Amino acid sequence: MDKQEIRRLIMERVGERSLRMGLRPDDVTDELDLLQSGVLDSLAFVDLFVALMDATGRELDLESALSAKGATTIGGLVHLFS
Amino acid sequence: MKETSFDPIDLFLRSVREMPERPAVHVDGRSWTYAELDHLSQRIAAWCDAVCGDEQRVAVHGARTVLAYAGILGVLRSGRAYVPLHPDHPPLRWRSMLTRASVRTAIAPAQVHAQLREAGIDLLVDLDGLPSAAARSNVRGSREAYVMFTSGSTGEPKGVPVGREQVAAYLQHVCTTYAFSPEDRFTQFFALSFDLSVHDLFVCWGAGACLCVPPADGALQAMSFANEQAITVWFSVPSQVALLQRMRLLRPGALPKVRQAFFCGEPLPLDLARAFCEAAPHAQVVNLYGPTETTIAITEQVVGPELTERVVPLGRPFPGHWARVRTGEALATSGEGELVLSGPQVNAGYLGQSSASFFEAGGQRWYATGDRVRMDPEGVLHFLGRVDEQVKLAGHRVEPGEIDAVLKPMLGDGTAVTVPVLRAGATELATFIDVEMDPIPLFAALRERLPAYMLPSRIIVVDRFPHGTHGKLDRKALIERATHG
Repeated sequence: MDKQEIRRLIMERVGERSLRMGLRPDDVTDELDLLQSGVLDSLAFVDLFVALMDATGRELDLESALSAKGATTIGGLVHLFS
Repeated sequence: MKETSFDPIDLFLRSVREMPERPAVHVDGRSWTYAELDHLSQRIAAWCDAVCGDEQRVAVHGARTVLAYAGILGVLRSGRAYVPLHPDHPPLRWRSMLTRASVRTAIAPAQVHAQLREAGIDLLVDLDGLPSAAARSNVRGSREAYVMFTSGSTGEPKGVPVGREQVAAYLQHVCTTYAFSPEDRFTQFFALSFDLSVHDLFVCWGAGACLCVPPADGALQAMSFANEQAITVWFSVPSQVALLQRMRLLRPGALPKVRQAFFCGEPLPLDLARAFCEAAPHAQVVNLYGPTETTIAITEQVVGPELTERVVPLGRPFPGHWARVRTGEALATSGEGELVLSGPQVNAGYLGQSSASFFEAGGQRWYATGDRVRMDPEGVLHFLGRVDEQVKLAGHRVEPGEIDAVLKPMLGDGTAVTVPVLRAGATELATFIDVEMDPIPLFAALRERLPAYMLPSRIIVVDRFPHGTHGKLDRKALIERATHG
């Protein structure tokens, strides 16, 4: 999967939820931290992470992946899975 | 022989006397011994005595630092009740709670003092501002131990004052039924504004054990936290373990040191309980149940091999308590109906409002839980659902009406109706409105007044609400639309 496809997959799950934190689609950038911003709660984040693992066929240890800086931003996830 | 006291402070002080040098709490990267926590909490008690006068309640900001733990102990030791404030809840919600509970003083880290002043607090203290001298050890002042708030369907949170005697009754049962030792290491996952945290603190300190506090954003690191801290006693909502399962971390033997586990706050699926038993093969797993109004938990069910239902039963009430099923006016000892409870853990009522949920029958005082149950011929309770609209989200009680009431003033002639929706195995909220509006300011209003877990995932505009044959709002149709639409 290329970066565009991964970003599209993330946006499918993030777009609607970002509205509730006051973010319109144009405000959602690669720097957005999905957990800290409250756009996703931990359950929704894990679901997204698992969906990305399934889509890319990559098996990652979520706990150690999260310890990397920026791992919970959109850009961080795109980087991790591409 | 002197009867053993299970008052929360008496339990803590016994451990201070018997094992002053053992760790009482591990928080924020360091351990505090019983002697250190004792001293710090006495200084807080001295501060309360100096500034609170006749005031019987003190707020404790629930940030995960030693100040909060010593703060709870200090407030109780001064003979007062504590009102915990969730650090992530909006100041407007704090204000509503503090006003209802007539609280003017708070123990809180300096960086939130300005916010708390805006929320109506006049007198604040951080670690730096405490008197150096310790005060007294344990004053029997207020009969109240704490006030916890739950969602209220009228648009404001509802305060539940819980008595010290009620807490002692809970602790007596749990501390004598399950075996704990000073070697144990307890999880402290629950927010201090959630009454299940009272179990964490005082069951642990009653045993002279160590309370292990994960960082506030640690939900995704719960497994490594449990293993790094060598946790032996686990207590969480089932959804926390479901999260670990989704992360593919709940593998057989993953929690080898856990020997006692409790779950509470929401239905416990049997397959999840079994998966936890495999992950923690040395653990006895217990499902607890109980609303805040009946003090922490009041029924229990050990997860054994004989269970077959999809969801673990609520079990039987603790000894000395009564459970009945109510249909109409009648209270029965078996069959289906609303669960009502009586006994020493049932509290007096809500703060500043009467409620039909507390009632007298047969010379006893009862609390009607709103939970629909089946009581089988052996007296075991099985959860069926709710008699009203209340929703549980990761253990949090949410009255959808509270969300609708916050939105109402912004909708003109319009109406908001919030419903629970099951999406990908998890419950979330969807709010329908019958006026065309930009959702951004509506969400902003909700964020100003409600905790994050109460925010709906979506606001959906409809031309008009569906109604059933008797003109009643058809919530099922809305749920259907939010699920599949």
